Amino acid sequence: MQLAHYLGFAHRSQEELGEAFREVAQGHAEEAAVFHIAQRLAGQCEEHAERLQPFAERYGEEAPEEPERLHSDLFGGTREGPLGLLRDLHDLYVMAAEVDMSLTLIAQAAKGARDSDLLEIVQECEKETATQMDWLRTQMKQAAPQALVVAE
Amino acid sequence: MDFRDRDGEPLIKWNDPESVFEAWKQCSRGRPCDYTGITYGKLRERHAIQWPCNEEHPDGAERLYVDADFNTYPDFSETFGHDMATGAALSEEQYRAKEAGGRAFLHAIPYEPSPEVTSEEHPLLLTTGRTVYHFHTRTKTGRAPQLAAAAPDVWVEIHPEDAAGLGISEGDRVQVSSPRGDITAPARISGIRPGIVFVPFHYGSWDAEDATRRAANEMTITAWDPVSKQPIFKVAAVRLERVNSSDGQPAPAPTTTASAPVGDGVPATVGGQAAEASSELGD
Repeated sequence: MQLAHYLGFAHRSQEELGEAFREVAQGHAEEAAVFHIAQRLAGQCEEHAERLQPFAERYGEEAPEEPERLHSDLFGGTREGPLGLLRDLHDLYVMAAEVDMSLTLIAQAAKGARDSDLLEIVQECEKETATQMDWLRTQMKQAAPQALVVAE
Repeated sequence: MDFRDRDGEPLIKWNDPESVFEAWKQCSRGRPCDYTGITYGKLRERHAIQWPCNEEHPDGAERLYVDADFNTYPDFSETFGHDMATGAALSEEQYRAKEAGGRAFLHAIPYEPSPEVTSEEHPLLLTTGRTVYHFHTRTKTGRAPQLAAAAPDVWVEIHPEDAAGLGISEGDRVQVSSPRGDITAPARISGIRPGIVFVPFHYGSWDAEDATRRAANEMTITAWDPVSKQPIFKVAAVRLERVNSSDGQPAPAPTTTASAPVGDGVPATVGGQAAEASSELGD
């Protein structure tokens, strides 16, 4: 069963998204809304990673060696200014989308494996990830006119 | 500038308060707060009229949402709503999927502590607010001698136990510091809750020499509710330090309302002759 690899991938993606949320919060601390909410969402990501951890370990016992590199680097540090903020939020959105899809696929696998504990947790995480994406979209839409039209 | 409408008539057709009201009320037509039926005549006769007041409800409507029919129809509601915790906007599709159909929403989110909580370094919670004698930054009320005399300058309200622990007495000058800034203000020992201090936000720079000496917002956090955008001026962590004694001079806080002192010996806030007024109705 290859599920452990996807659980490991989702776990790492969650951790990285959490770190990236925290970095963006610090890097754009003058944007009060971003500063506070991004930190809160970082906490959610860390909690998701913690909740997935035991399942990654349990399924890891019956998994073969990782067949290929699943991980991808999506975030290379914060940028500056209004355009930089927009791009940073855009990066977070892509990372959240990666998390979202891995959770969807893990949920499918959890149904197949009849693992209702895993399914319940993944579905709760999915809900919060969806809200994170909604928030990022809202922030980006608000920031875009200023960053793309007005800012020098 | 002689703006004209498409008929060549003056664009601006109002010239007194009543004609402004007549023009402005048209903005509410067809919306939940439709008050196109309210006129100066009706207001003089009835004194108070509750919207909606229109052709359907010529005398206004005392109760909204009778029969539990709420304004949640997607084609009529004014917003598709937000996630309460983050402020993320919901899309029209997300809203329609809820199929509210006139039922109301009750939004609940898990508990979150304030963005700032007390710590060893800042052990008290500051809340800021009003006194009844002033409005906002006192640009009007500060110029009314009777109101200015009732609450002439900033103060900080402290519970007697907190004050005793810090060696603070009524009127002592106290430095209030948060992680962002500080002010110095006379202490009012009041009936406030233990652990909480209060500073009115009315006092700022326009009529003071040192702009940062007394403005409550020097200490507040820069954050707001993600949906309503209400600033978080009600919670900041602070510490107090007694600066010096007042030699018996009490804080310039009103002895009425919540700022009433717990101890004796503070002269009462009274209007006096200057605050007396009378008016007569009729011929």
